[in-house]
Amino acid sequence: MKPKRTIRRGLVFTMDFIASLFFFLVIILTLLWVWGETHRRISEYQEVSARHRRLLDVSTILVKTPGNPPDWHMHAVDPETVKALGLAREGNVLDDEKLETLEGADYMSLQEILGFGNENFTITVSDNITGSPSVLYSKGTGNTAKERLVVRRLALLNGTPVELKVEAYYNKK
Amino acid sequence: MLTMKAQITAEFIIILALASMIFLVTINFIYQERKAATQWTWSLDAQDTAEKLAWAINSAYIAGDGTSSNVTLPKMLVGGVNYTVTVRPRLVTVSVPAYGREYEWKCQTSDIDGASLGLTVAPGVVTIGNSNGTIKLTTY
Repeated sequence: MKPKRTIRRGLVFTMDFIASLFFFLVIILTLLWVWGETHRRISEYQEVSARHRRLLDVSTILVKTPGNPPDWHMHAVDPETVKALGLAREGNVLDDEKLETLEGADYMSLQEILGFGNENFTITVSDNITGSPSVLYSKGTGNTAKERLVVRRLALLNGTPVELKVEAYYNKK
Repeated sequence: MLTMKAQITAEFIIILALASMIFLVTINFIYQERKAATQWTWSLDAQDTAEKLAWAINSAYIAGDGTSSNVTLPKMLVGGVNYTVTVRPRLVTVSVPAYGREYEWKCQTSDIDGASLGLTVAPGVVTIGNSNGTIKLTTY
């Protein structure tokens, strides 16, 4: 009787191996995705935070300083002559003459003076801030940008509490 | 007679190639991410330096005539990266020449002494003063 031939080769592609390789790849790919996503979110947060801090600077300058020169509103609003823009008569007390000049000023010049670059903005002064606010002065227009940042400041205008709102519009990178 | 020789099969070679490929891809990814993370840390530091100086200029301007404050700019950015700071009207720029990168931060006044031609500020202690609305920067 002929002896039965036995194959004794080692099995490499077992189900265990294939399953472990699959899980290993899933874990590695998940880690890559989490890493990339975390990096993206931190960058995004950092960018928004920087924009917000810059908007705070703009609103502080507007509400606390008279501008440089202090009588900038008596002349044409030009980045060459207006070294800094301010709307205050004194700290947190707004000047209505400056607000009127702001409304009539060239938008592009204001963009440059306030450091917005190509970003659009609006500046609004409203009274009756505890009830239904009514807009007293406004400069700039809303636009199609997807993101919007808002900073609100309280001030006095002719003895009345008003709110100065600065909005900046931008698109995410 | 039964032969019991060790075998290097095609399966084993495939697995070795696959494992090496995964290993190399992972190592390359870690290397790239480490490089990006290093670059990210000094770029954040550069941006922070520009912002710090611009903020000090704005603060001196808001505080009014006669005010003065100090800001310390680091000798190098995080990771030992060299940089230069230039102040122009309404703009603070931090340049990283080794990587050809620039980081800007807007300031709210253009009345900065010497800035119209581009004022280079050396790292160290910078005193920022306000004299009749004009910002003056002095480095020590």
